[in-house]
Amino acid sequence: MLGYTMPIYIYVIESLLVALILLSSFAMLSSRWVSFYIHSYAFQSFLIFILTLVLGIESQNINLYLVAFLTLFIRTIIVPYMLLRMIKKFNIKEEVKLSVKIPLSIISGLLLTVFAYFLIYRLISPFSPKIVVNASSIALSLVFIGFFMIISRFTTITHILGILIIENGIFLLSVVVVPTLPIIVELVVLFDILVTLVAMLILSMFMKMQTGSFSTAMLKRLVG
Amino acid sequence: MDIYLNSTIFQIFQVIIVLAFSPFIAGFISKMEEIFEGRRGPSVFQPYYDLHKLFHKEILVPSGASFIFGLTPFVSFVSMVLITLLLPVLTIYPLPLGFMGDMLAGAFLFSLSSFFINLASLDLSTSYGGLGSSRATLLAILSEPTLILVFVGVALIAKSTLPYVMLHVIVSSMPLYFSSSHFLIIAAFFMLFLADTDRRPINASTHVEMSMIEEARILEYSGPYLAFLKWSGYMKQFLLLVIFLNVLVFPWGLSVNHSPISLIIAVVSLIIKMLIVGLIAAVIDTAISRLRFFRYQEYFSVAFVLGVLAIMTFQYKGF
Amino acid sequence: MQIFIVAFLIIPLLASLAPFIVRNKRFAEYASLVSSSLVLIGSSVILYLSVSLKTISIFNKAIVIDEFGAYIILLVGIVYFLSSMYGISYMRLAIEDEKMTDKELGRYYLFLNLFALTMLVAPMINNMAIYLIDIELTTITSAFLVVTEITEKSIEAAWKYIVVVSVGLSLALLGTILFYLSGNIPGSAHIVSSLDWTVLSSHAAYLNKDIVRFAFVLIVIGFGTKVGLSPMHTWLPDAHSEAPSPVSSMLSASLLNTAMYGIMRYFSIAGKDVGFGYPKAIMIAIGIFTIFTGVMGIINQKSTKRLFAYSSIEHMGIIGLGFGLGGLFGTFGALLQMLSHSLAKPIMFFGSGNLLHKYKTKDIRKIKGVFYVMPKTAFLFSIGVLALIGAPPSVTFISEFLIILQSLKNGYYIITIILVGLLVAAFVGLLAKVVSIVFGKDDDDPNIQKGDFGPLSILPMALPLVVLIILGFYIPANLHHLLIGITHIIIK
Repeated sequence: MLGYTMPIYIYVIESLLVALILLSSFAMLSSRWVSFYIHSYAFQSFLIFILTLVLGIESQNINLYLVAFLTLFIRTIIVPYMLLRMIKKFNIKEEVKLSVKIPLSIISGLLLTVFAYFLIYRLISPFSPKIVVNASSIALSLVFIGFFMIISRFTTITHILGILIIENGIFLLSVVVVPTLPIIVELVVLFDILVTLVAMLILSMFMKMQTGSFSTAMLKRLVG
Repeated sequence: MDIYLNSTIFQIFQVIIVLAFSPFIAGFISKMEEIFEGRRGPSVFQPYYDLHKLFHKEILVPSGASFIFGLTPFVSFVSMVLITLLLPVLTIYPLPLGFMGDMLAGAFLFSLSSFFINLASLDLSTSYGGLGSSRATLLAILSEPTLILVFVGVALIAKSTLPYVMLHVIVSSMPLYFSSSHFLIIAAFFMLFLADTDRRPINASTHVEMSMIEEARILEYSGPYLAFLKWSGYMKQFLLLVIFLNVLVFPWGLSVNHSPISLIIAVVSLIIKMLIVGLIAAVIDTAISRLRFFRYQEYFSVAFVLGVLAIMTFQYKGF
Repeated sequence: MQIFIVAFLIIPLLASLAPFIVRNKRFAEYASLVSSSLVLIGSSVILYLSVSLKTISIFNKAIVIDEFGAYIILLVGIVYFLSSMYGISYMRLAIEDEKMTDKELGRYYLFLNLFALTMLVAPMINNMAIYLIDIELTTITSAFLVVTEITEKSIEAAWKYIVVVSVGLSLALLGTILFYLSGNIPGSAHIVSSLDWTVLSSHAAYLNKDIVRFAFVLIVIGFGTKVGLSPMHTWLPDAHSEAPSPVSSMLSASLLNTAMYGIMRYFSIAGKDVGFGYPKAIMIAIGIFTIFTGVMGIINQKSTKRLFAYSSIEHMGIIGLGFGLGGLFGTFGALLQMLSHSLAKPIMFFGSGNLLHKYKTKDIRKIKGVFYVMPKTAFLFSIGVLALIGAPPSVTFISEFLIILQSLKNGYYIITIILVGLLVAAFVGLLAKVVSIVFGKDDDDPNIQKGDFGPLSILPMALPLVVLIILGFYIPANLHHLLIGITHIIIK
């Protein structure tokens, strides 16, 4: 965490957690089952919760506790629950349609990660310790991987999850790099996630009712 | 009064242990798999019986076979024995021949053995041999990048590619042991281990399957030749486990001095560790299904990603 | 003052609940009309107050309205008023055609007023992160307006809209966080621990320059998605063409300005930190490219509403370019262009709404000879398009002329040539299409009844047109001073 000096075991834990967070997003890239995506997302959010909590305890920052438990509550429980209920209600068992095959998506994710490391290194390495560079690069790579998921998978649920992963990445970045960020901002962002999620779920319900599918591959009528 | 043994004795013991126990580990894993699948399965000593039976058969060489055919079993066997000399099987301190080569040399010997088996299987130009060797080559090509990355990762952590040095580095530094790059290397290597020892999700090499790889390559062999090949296969699995356990995952329990008691402790702890990993391997083998041939690259790209991430997170680990 | 602002914001909130309080269609219509007229009056008052007080800051500086913010609020108020008025006629016709149910109508009024509310709040907020979330809320509310009539196409448009814009705004959030980081670097002498634009712009010199450079790009991409800057504009034509006409006009004429406001706040912060050359170069490049995209869309267009959606993209490009060129003329021209866009775009969308109801199609090739069928609409539509594309007696001409003048003044001759060429292309493209619509050969389709719709479909087109033309001849001194003041806020 930028601006704090911590004992070495915190560094070890932090580096382990961020590596796991990155791996969970790669796990999503390597799968073609919707429910697996949702579970990985929940797992990832849970890891972010632990990381935030550890950092909060170590820096004795009350804001971080609050944000951590809100993350647990919203990102780890409510959002996956809503998504899982959605796919249960509409009985989605279909595989996700991919425009990029799995090995290629994994390699692309890797390239994006390297790019994120490069960017962050150029940007914040002059004034930050290595562990912050590591964690924030992984946060930025979550943003990129989220983008990649949106453009390479044709299901409403994966679009939603892509946005949520981007959001997770930004949240991780803000926790690691700007721990003093006003709590109101985090709260409003969480609120925004919920509202966006609900709106998207309603829209995808409309879509299901109109076209009988959650696939967005049919969204190509409006061109020109 | 303590009895101190010569390093040479340890060196000899090392080879004997590997030769003696490798069929046992193989038998244990297949027994466990059978049990998990709800059958009784063969005895854990079945590989010994197999070897015994094969060694008592006569040597049959198919007509048209070249000298490669006869050479291959010995090349394979000897390269496994040589690798044994390079690895910290029993001792935490390097033995005299341990500096003969590093991990790259080990990898070279593994692929030398595989290369000769490929040649031998192509030698008779049968269809099965061709299939098996082409598949094995594809797998080797796919796993090679990850293998190299694992070596690079180890070299970054230990500043050396000698297995003994790596072991010392991670034993002496707890943060390094718990670093994410270490775990990522372990994960990548474990995936390679599963692939290299012919386990799922890559392959289930039972001889009834049409998609067999290992079995297809040595289909023409019989008698003592086959025994040597099988034995070297068991040893390969054993040695990969040794690298996995004693160099990467749990380098404790090795003998720290030259006393016979520590030798016994080392042997016992090694076998226990192997049984635990063997159990895990058996669980994985029965729990997941085989990938289609054209989806192998998914598996290997995951391993590759793990290797790359290991290297990247090491650069910025922060301690 | 606080009570006034709160009351100002509560009005649209109440109007949004109207269809659920009294279950009468007429009541909701008039509630929204009354609310929008009150908002229009209120926004004029806010503008007046902000000019006389320089800045209104209340609630412990959570809400700060300076002249720029008040100007944007006024633009939103104008379009809200026009759209509510036109919406009455449009929705009545839609219900007559059985394109809509009462339930959908209730939802329409709910989200229309909420949409207006979120847009009115945006320029008031001091904290840039909360401003960003408010912009995200405008996305949600307007996405539901796009699916007022639930069809496959409208769902597609709304889905594209919400996904593209949410992703874009998340980049803007990243940029915002990086802006915060740029003031919070450990070890630096001055810690700027705030996201309020008032604080950021007064302490701009202390921000880390490298991070600000990167963050500004993210901000332009992020808010640019909402503004419709190319190449992030992909959602815009779809959402504009599938939404009902009043909503299209609100999307185009006020939402885009509200998002542009955010870019300009960061523009001035970044300019004060790293020098104006950097943000200006970005805005010029993206502006030119956006104009190009818009013109290309116009030239090859077959649908009336998409035609004007691409024209919006082009106008946003011109505004961005004007701000990018900077200087007095460029910024003044861009601000004036915002006004003229807000006045001219509703005319065109309302006109195409009337055409849609008459001809039941958006296809330009099937709409011919409107002049003989709906003379009043056709008259306003054709004069409106002249005002839109910048034919001389309209204010659009002045604003575009100022921007061209600024680029000549800066010595950017190549940009001037490209800009003039693109403007001429847009001029010809739009004019040719509208002429074929209005004066093309009439097919004498017996199914089409001749005659205009009621006065509520004509009046919202006539009012802004009159203002546009008057402003073309004479810009009042007050407006002049206001725009000069805003120019100083942005570039000083």
